[in-house]
Formats: sequence, C-alpha cells, structure tokens
Amino acid sequence: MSPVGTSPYAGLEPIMWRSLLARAAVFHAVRASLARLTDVTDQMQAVQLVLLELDLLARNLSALDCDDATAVATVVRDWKQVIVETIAGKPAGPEERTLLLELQDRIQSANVEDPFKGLFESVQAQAGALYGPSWRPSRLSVAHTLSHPRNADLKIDPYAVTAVTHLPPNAQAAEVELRIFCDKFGPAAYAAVPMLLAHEFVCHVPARQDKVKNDSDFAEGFLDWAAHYFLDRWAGKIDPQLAPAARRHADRLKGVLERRPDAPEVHARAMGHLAADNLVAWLEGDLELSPEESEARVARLAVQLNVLDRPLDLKDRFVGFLSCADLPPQMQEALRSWVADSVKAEQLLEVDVR
Amino acid sequence: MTTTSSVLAAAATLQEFSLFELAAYCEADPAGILKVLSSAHPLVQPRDQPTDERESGPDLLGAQRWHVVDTTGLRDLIATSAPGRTARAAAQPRRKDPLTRIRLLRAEETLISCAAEESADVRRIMAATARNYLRQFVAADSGRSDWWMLGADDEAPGGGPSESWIGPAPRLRVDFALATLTESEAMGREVAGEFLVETATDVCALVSYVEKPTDRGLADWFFNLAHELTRRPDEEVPSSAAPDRLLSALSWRRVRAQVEPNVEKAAQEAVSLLRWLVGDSDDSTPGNGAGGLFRFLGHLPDGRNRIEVYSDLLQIVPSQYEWQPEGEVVPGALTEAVADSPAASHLQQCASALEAGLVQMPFQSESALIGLAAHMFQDFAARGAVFDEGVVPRSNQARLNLLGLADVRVDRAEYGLSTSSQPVAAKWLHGGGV
Repeated sequence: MSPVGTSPYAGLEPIMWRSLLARAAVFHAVRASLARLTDVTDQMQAVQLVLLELDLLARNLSALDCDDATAVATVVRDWKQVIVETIAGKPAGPEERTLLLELQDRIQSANVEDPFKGLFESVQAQAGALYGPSWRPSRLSVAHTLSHPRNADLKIDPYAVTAVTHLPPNAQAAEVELRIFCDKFGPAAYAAVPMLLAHEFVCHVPARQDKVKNDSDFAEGFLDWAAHYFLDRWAGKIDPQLAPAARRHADRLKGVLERRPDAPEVHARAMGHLAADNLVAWLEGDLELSPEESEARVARLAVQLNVLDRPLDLKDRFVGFLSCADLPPQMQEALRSWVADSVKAEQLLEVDVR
Repeated sequence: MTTTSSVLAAAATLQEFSLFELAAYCEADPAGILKVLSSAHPLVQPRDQPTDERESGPDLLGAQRWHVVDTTGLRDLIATSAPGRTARAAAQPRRKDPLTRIRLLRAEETLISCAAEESADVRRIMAATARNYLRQFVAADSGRSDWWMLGADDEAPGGGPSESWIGPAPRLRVDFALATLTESEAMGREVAGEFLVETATDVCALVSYVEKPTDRGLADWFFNLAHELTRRPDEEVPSSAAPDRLLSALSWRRVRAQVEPNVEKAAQEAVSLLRWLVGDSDDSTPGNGAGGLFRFLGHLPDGRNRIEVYSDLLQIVPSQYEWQPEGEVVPGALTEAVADSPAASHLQQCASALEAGLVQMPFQSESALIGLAAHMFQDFAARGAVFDEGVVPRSNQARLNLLGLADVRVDRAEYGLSTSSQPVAAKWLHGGGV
C-alpha cells in the first residue's frame, strides 16, 4: 500500500495511481459479475449511470490528498451509496435490479490490495510452469497514457490498456509494462488484463530473439494464437471468479485487433493465427489426431520454437509455410517425423522449398 | 472438451512430463490431473514409484515425472472420452484462401524490411519468405494448390524469373524480382545487367501512379540492391576505374535521395543509370571505363565545344565563361554540355586533376572517393575565384552536398552557409551557366 504522495510504479503519478487503484479495486471486487456487466451496459441505463458515477468518483480523488486505503474506501463507500440510491429509484427491469444487487453485495469485499500485481503474479506462475527452465523472471510496471492505445471509439474498442515487454541488455530479467489510459479504464479493460499479460508472458518474456519485430508472423501471430490457447486453460486457475469475463474479453480483444486498419502488425497477427489453425487442421485431417491433441501440439510447438536461439526471420519463414492450407510435401514429411518424435522442433525450421 | 480428454491429449503431446508441466496445458490442477492419469494406467505411468500424496505433499507430487507408454492406445482412449468430437476427415473440400490479399502485402512488407537488416544470411531467409508468400498469392489467385512448384524450374539465366505465370502486372514482376535480387545480393551472386534494367523499367511502371505507401519502399529497396549489385568490392576495383566509380556512386545516391520527393523521377533516373552501367560493351566495369570525368565530343560550327563532364564541376565554372547543359548522360553525375573554349578548358583541367587524385587515392571506397572530390573542390574554387568571387560560395554548396552524399555531418556555418533547415543529403543542383 502506498503512503500519501507516492505510487508503487515509477511511471505513474500518485494521483493517477489512486484513481486507477480505486477503479481496479472495484472491478476486482465485482469481478464475478464483470462478464454480465460488460455485456448489458449498453441496454441498461441504470447500470450505465452507475458506472459513470464510478468514473466521476475515481476522478474526484485528485482533490483528495490521501493514501491508498483512504482512496479505495472513499470510492467504495460513495459508489455503494450510488448503487443503493439507484436501486431505490426502481430501475427498469428485474434483470437490471438483480445485477445492481449483485454489485452492491460484491463491492463489500473490496480491499486495497493491488489487483494488477495479483493478476501479474498469477499469470506469471502459469507461464513459468509452462516454460520451466527456459523461463525468464519479470517484474511489473504500470504507466499512464494520455490516449487510447489505438485512438479508438470506446464503444467499439473499450480496451483502454495495452502491454509491452522490455528486455534489458543483460536479458536476465524482463519488465512487463501495462500502459493504461486511466480516465477510460473500465470493466472491459480490466477483464482484458489477463489476456494482455498472457500475451506478454507467452510471446515475449521468455523469447530468444535476435531482434525486436512488431510485425513478426511468429512472435505476434503464431505465438499469440498459443497465448489465447493457454489463457483459455489458465483462466480458472488465475482467478476463478474473473475467468468467464477474462475469456470473453480475450476473444473480443482479438476481434478488435483483427479489425484494425491495414498495418504490418495486423497482417502478421492474421498470418500467424491462420498458420496455427492450418496446422491444427492438418494434424486432425492428415494424422487423425484428436482436436485436443492437435491444439496442444501446436501450442507446444510455439513454445518450443520461442526459446530456440535461431533468427526470428527463420521462425517467420516457417510460419509462412504453414499459413497456406496446402503444405509442401517436404514440410508434411518433416511434421510427421516431428509428431513421431524422430525429429526435434528445431529441425522444422530448416525445411525449405525452392 | 472434457477434463479427461484434455488431460490425456496434453499427455499424448508432451509424452514425458511432470504434473506441473502438464497442468499448463489444461484447466485441471495437479490433483485432478493425477486422477485422470491414474485412470489411464497402464497407457501412462509414473517414472518413479507412485508416491502417496499424504506423505509427500502436493509440491513433490506435482514434480513427479510421468511418461506415455502406449501413444496409440492413449489416442484411442481420448477418442472414447470425448465421443462427440472426432478428427476431421482427411478429404476436405479445398477452402478458399482467406488471406490472399494479405499475402501480397506481407511479401512486400518483408522485402522492404530487408533494407534494415544487416545480416546477409537473414536477408536471404527474408527473401525466401517473401517469395513463398508471392507464390502462395499467385497460386491462390489462379486456383492452384501446389504453390511451391511455381517457378521452381524456370528461372531465367542470371537469376531473373522468366515467368509467364507471373503475368504482365508490374507489381508482381517487381516483387518477384526483388526477392531474387535480395537473395542474389545476400549470397554474393552476380545478376545479369539486362535483368536489372528490365526490373527498373517495371519499377517505373509501378510508381508512375503510386497506389500504396509500400510502393516507395519497394522502389527504394530496388535502388539499394541495384547499387550494391552493380558495384564490385572495393578491393577488386582497379584504381584506374575510380573516376567512373565516383560517377556511379554519386548517381545512385542522388537517385535514392529523390525517392521521397519524387519517386517517379528517381525510377526514371535509375533506368538511365543502369543502361549506362550495363552499356554496350561486355566489360562489367561500371560505366565501361568509357570517358572518365571529362570527354571532348566535338566542335560546333560556332566554335563552341560539345563536352561530357562530371556535373558538379559545372557549378564552379567562373561566371565569365559560357556554358549550357544539353542533357544528362548519367543522372546526377555526368552531363553533356556545350561550352566556350575557356569553360571547356577550365573544366578539363579540373576534371584531370580530380581524376589524378582519385586514381592515386589509397582508399577506394565510394565515401572516400566522394570525400576526395569534396576536398578538391576547395582547390578548384581557389583557382576560379581569381576570375569570379562567386565561385567560392557555389563551391561551398557543392562540397556540402557531396559530403551529405558521403554521409558526413557538417556544420553549415563552417561553409559560410545559412543554418536554416535544408537537408544535408544533396539536392541535385541543376545547371547554371550562361
């Protein structure tokens, strides 16, 4: 907990931290309702108003010079009162009333613990178990941005948060930075944080890469597919109450990112995902593996390739081969040997056709 | 997906694992996984003696290693544990490629990225990736499934694709050519001059109407490659070829400087430059060693002289002398002009002195040659200033532009020039004179 005038994150001013913490503490407390909350906000006026009031309360914290506990307690107390008054004002339908009562009940459990840190450690634990000895420890930082990461309309893209990984020169540890547009950080954005962290942990933190390449078909596409695969399986272990919302918003965030205007990173993501889907289909169709084993194998392959000390462009070339549903005979033969465990994943990178 | 099928599928994938490792691939925790694996015995077995959780604790249990003994049997068990989900039939109707357009974009983005890649080995890989995307694009467009066979057997001599299957569209021809040229440059392979000229012509057609931001990037990368492919390594170039090497270096640099403001002009100049480089002779020395920095072409009936001269020298002709440009022989480097005898004589003396300096230079890199030219302009300015003081500032401007082309940062004030913003990389100065 940060005393008055301080913030636990160097990239975040104390006033901004308090406001963000208050919002996140509320979302964390009501996380079991987040999936429904984000689904129905557009249709339920009373719920919309309640969320707007939360936004105002969080912003008004800038006028208070207080510590974290006071900030959270103030917002929770005042927001609970808003909910009580809204319920008393008889909202439109029973569903809306039920949701508001849920929020009123769940907000009681709000506390001052940093939910970002909690999520970070949970996701990291899963990723660390996945990568085993190849894992690279990391630490969290949180920073405030002045605008939406994609300059998007919040109605279409409510995810006012993004994440990046910094790998220092010695490459012994990494820093995962959440970049949050604090003033517009809403329940959907909070629910997307596990997926953003999973992407960084699966794709970038343990990566052995000779270069940074934001439009890598492998690093941003194929591995992103794997990150979605793993998040789907980890969500219940990261936070059972948040899991439904985390899964739902992982999917929606994926859709939002796919619909961005033409740009190399958008194309790379599309190619990489298609390559993974094609490989799953080939494993199911040609080798008659079960859907579950096919997906598990593709996810595992992504992880294995990610920690190989080989040029990123070689991994991109491999993904390029897979991006077409018709695989060259040499690649099919190599993949069969790989499934049969007679060649290692690394040898798949050597396959070439002229 | 059931817990049982997902655990068993993860086991089949990993083959040997601890419960912690397997837990990363499914929703179940180690305790739940243990139940499933135990039920699959003897298809999956612990490596060590089974431990009693009560005695060993969850951490030790999670770390216990297991292995798959019978993969085929395990897969049969997976199928029965999730009977609603079966593998897709091997024969599937062929799906339309959902990303055909993006393949072309990815190919071009990859080619343009080669410019920033320092490793030749990696550029070769990137070229292969781009070529694969291009072949996939063409195959999808024409309904073929065997994209890897396109162009496999019909590369033209000298590395250029001979492809009727590419079709007339300049974009695809340029893209394929760039993939080939990138690979050739990375591997140190020679490329036929005619192929470079043909590609330059296609680039001209591509940029005559710039459709996409990538068009400039593709053109720039082509100019970069063509420059590299038409020059020999510094240590292989005889010093006698230094004057023509200077002309070639300056022309290529000025072509590339034109890409941003006027890519169409840059492409046209590249065609002219390549035609000069390829030339009529079989000698692959740039410029075929024809004339150096000055060549007398003939007398005109009015007594003036038709000459070919290194273009920058025209900037420092004293204003009392008369000359006018007639056309560019080598864009940005060699100009055909008509000059009176004093002008022709002055230019010939400067050119000869510069040629002598270039030939005697111990360093034959392009930057060194350009640097020497910039240095010698000071002497030429001193000579010319006797007749026309205006030669000095014009010489300073010319030197500044040359140093910019050689990637040397300079203080404009040192050259008596204003420090108002102007790109250090040279703008090509077009002729003054009469």
